[in-house]
Parts: sequence; structure tokens; C-alpha cells
Amino acid sequence: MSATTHAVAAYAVTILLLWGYAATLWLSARRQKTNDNQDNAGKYPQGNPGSNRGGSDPS
Amino acid sequence: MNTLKKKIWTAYWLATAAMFAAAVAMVFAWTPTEATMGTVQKVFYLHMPVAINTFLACMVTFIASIGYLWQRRQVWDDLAASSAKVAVLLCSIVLLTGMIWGHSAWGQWWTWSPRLTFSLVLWLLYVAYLVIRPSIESRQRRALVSSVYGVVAFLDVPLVYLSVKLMPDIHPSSIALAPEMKLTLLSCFVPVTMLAAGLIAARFHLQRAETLSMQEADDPSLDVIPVRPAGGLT
Repeated sequence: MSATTHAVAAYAVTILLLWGYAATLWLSARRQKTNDNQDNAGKYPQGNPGSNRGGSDPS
Repeated sequence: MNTLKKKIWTAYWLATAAMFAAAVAMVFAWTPTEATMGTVQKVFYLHMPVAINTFLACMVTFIASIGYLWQRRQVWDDLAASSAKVAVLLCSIVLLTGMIWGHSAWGQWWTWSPRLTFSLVLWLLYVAYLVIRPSIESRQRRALVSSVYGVVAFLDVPLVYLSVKLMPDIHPSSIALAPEMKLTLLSCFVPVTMLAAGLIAARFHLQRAETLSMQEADDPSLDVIPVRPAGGLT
């Protein structure tokens, strides 16, 4: 392997690991947000009188 | 996360990515090649900033561990764990880029010199930190054990730093740089630090959400569905 190949390999490894981890965290955050939205939808179902989403009109 | 925070967060990551790309372009297209080592010396512009950020990430874990031992607040443990994960990632990069550099410069992938050995020990210590955590079920006990460990593990950081100064080592203790090389090093240091800080912040954000959802699951009283009093608003 030439010196240039070594240098390029070092940069490729670094970029792959750092930005790969950043992408993983971003995807995890998105998944968590989706799960939270689903949980909230289950917690406050349409038509639940205890909820301000849907259901009876408080006025 | 509200819209303004989201915009700032997006701008931060875009700026980091742009600066990172510019720094890499600068290394290969603008910075002069070092006379003795040749092209492989360009690894240094990434290797050193990542190494310094490894120390900083370990320091965040150390400070957060002390914070937990002092105040016993879960938020400190979440910060320590998040930072330790990033420290392991950064230390892995330091070892890998160092090995690539060593193979070209010294003709071998690894040698048991003090700097390299203490760096490997540092990596093992923080990998062990991450392995130990899930094996402890009680949240308070896990935080307590991790905090004590986080403080002790940090003792290796000064050893890594001082090893080349105090002991004979094949690893260079300092490299003379031309002004263009110094500028390139600074140009790499800024985005790598921004990236490391961003990763710790992103991991911490996730960790907090996981902790809060687990606390909610442990304590059903926190999971309150708002109920109107009977005969209330009609």
C-alpha cells in the first residue's frame, strides 16, 4: 500500500465512523419521535371525553 | 423540540458538515506534503484533533460522574453515559488512524510503545464502562457504580498524554509544522470538535428520552391521563 492509500484509508475510516454514528443517532431520534406520537395517539384516543383532542366540545 | 431549536440544530449540523468537507479538501488540495514522512503525514490533521476530542469526551464523563456522586441526579448519569459512548467511538478512530499511520511510517500496524499501550487501555476502560452498565438492573445502583468507574477510568487520560514526554517512545511527542500546516490543523480541529460535541448532545438527548420513558414505565403515577372532574366543564 502506498502512503497516499494509507492517508485516504485513514480519512475514509474516520468519515465513515463519525458520520455513520451521527446518521444512526438521527435515525434513532426519528424512530423515537414516531413511537412517541403513536403512544400519544393511544393515550388520547379520538372521542375520549377526558381528552381535549376530539370528543365532546368543552364549550 | 420546537421549530427554532430544530432550525438551529439543523444549521449546526450543516455548518459542521460543510466545515468538515472544506477541511478535508484543504488537507489534500492545499496543504504542502511533509518532507520526511510524505503523504501519510496528512493523517495527522485528523488523528490529533480526534485524539484531543477523545480526552475531552472522557473529561465530560469524568465531570458528569462527579456531578452524579455529588447530587445523585439521573441527568448526570445520562450525560456521563452519552459522553462515554462518543469517547469509545473517538478512541477507536484514534487507534485505527494511528495504526494506518504506523504501518506506513514504521512498517508495522502495532507496537507496544507507552503511548499506544495507554491508548489501548483507555479504549478498553471505556468499552468496559459501556459493557458493565446494562448488566446492573437497578437504575440508581448502575448510576452509582458507573460514576465511581467514570472517575477512576479518567486517570488513564493523563497517562496517555504524558507517556510520550516521560518515557522513551516511538510515537512523536511534537511535530514542527509550517504555517500552512498549522492553519490546516486548526481547520480540522474546529469541525471535529463541533462534530464530537454534536454527537454527545444528540446521544444525550436520546438517553434522556429513554430514561424518562423508563421512569414513566416504572412509576405509573407519572403516566397520568388528564381526567375532568365529574360535573365539570359542560
